[in-house]
Amino acid sequence: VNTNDKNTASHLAAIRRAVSDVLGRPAESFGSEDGLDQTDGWDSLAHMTILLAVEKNLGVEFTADELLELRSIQAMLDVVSAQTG
Amino acid sequence: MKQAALPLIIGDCHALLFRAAKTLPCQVAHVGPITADAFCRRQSPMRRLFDQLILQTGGVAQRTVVLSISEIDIRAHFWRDLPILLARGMSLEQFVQRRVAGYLDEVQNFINETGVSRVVLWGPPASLLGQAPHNDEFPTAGSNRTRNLLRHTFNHSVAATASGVSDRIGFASMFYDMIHNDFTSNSSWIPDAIHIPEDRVTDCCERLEPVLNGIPLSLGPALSMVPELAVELCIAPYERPHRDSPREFFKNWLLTENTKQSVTIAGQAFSFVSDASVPSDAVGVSSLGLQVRPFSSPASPP
Repeated sequence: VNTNDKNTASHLAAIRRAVSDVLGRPAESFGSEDGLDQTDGWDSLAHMTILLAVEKNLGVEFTADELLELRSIQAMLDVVSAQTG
Repeated sequence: MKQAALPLIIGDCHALLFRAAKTLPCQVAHVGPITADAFCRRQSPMRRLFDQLILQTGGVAQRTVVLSISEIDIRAHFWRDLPILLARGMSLEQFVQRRVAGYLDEVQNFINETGVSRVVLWGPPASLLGQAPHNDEFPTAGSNRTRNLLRHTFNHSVAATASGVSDRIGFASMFYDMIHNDFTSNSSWIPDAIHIPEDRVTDCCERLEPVLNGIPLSLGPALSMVPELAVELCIAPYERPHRDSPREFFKNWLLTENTKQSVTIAGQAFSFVSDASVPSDAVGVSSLGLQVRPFSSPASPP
């Protein structure tokens, strides 16, 4: 397993943990396709809280544009991976 | 000869007013608390319900449809997202413009896909509610005046954008009839703090009818007559404990016409904290005279 794969796996785990914190279900129940309107309880009210929790867990900060665009775990993972290399 | 189908007025609770219309024959469909944001997201539960109701009416091809959508965005959701985005450099008008552009794009898609002859956007009425509910999802506050200023910004943005999107989109609003010169709400228009009462329905029909018949915009008093506002709003950061881990703190922001040093949420007082991370270029004076500044910075001298 190369470093990039390890980083991606660790980012994914942190994002799923943030989603789990907000939605109150086990982290392992969330996949990369989960997101706004795709997942029970992940509505527009929960969405901004999830994004802020992801930032806190990963120590990253999304731009204003990203906060408006990111709508799924996969999309967040892509941006986080690009930010952290 | 086949009679033209009645206009369909569909959307949030403000659509329900038109059930009492005596002078404007129309059909009314209540979706529930649909927001413009949810209307734009086709998989959202409210949009799916909206589409279902459109099907149940037998389709809307060649009909005029009035969309009563967006009041909830401005009364509640904008206040949750705006301070966070302002603190990251997006201006208030950029935010509103972006929301309006997305909404109008989706209205255009709706026109293209359904064959609707004309869509009229029924603008958000003024609101008397002074504060949003304070909870984890809405850690925000705003006086009815600040909310009305945001409605005004929204109206400006719709007026500037709608005609460029399609000549089949109109806009009608009672908003400017419902506010005083200082932008506070006139309570006689909103006895329950949110809804226009039925005894005003004829006024609303008179405002709506010409727009149904093709007048592109009817905002009431001309926007140009609204004076420069010169109102100052501030981004006020505060920290609150995580609901499950009280020793952990989450930072939140308020956007408020503020003179106080603290805010009370769910009965608990929080002080605003100084926040160097709010960039100075996030602040400024909008073309409507709204000034936004970080809470920790002193106001500029007049």
